[in-house]
Amino acid sequence: MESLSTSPEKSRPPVVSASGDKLKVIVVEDDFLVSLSVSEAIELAGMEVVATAATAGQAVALCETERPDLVTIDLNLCGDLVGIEVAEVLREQLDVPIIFVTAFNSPEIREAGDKSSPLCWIEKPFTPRVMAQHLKAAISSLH
Amino acid sequence: MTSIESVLELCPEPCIVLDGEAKIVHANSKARCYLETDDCAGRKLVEFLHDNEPDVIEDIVAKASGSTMPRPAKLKLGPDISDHAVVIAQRLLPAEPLRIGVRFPDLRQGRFKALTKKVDALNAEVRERHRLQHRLEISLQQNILLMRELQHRVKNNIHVIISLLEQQARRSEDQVFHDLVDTATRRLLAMSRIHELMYRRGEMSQLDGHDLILSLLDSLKSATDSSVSFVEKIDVGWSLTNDQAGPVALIINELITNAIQHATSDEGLQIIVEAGLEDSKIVLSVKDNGPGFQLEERSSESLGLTMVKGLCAQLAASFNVESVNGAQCSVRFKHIAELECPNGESEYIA
Repeated sequence: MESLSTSPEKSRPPVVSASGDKLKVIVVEDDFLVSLSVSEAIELAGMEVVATAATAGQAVALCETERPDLVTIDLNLCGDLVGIEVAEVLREQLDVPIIFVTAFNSPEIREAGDKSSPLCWIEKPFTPRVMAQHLKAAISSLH
Repeated sequence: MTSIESVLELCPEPCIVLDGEAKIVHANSKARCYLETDDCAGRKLVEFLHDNEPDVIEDIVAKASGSTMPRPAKLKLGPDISDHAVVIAQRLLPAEPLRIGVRFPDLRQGRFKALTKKVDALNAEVRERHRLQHRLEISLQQNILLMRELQHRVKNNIHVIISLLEQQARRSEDQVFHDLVDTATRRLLAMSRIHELMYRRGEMSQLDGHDLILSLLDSLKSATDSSVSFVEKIDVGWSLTNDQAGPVALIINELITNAIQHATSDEGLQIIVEAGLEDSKIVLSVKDNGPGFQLEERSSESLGLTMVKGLCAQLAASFNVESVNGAQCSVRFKHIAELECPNGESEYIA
């Protein structure tokens, strides 16, 4: 079945910024295997992963140097829900669009995370293809 | 009965009149009851209060004899500290002969000793229950956190399994292997949906059938090529037990996957999913507009259909395949309302 993500993609039209470059994305995820699938989805959506951060500190530092167009953040970093704090810092200091990736999905967590005005929430588990669809839809809402 | 005896009887507590040698002259009925004798007149009070030195009572008499004002004094009425009692000693008029009235107000309270004991026991039980409730509330909070963490771990691990399969598939050019990984991924996603629904609703024993099927279809549609169209006819007002939900999700997943993999149509593949109650039974149906198939022929080569048959047996469900203007696969089993024995016999109609 060609609908799921495992079949090799023939073409991935790039999602570009105003300058014509591929959108730069930083992945904030402390689980290596999950970061692989998130990165795969980002590339599948025609964007470019410029860095992966495993901690809150790395995430803020990398965003300051790389100035990404988008950041995907896992809420649960190193066993703590610091993803929300990271998002708040990034939104306030760098005004970078956020997408939350999480296996948590409770109204309380949503309410806390929505204060950072994320573009969308992507819930685990997902296939790269499904996440790519979410990413494209989220980015199109920016333009 | 003399006038003084009549007055003594009016007192609510034990009362005794002593002479100057601390001998009992009169005792009201409450005092006699307490001293456990009807014949105490002329005997020294100390004979009945064995735990006191004789001079303690004589000292009370001596001090009381100097004034008609009531004087409190302490007496031991038993071996325990709780048996210490305050007595009120008072010289009575006329002055001659010397008469000392002794009242035992603490023993008046003793009338409620059993009740007091009961109230104390009840208070102790209430305190113990409060402590227990506090411990239970802490335990419940810990369990809620534990449950949330467990749900997170389950979903994260399913995601990691899907990710591992994808990483492996990405290194293969074999389309068959890709299809196998896709099928496994769909099954994992279906199981994750059930898990998610149970956790989100906080209802671990049963799930709303309408919500479950729609949630599952959302997941399947997002992972399916957009050339396939879906039609949903899902009734409201029916439920699945926890034990039924997992197999039902996998059955729907396998039947839809089977239709997508095998059915083709010049007009574009259309899959109609119906679910609801019929004659108190839950009926699930997946219909396509493909060429149709024979169950026994295909199930020998299809793990998906073999799984459907096995899961139907687990549900004590009938599984029926008809090939008229496409394939229509129907599963029928007991609704939760009439579920008595989950391990009944299953029948296949091909």
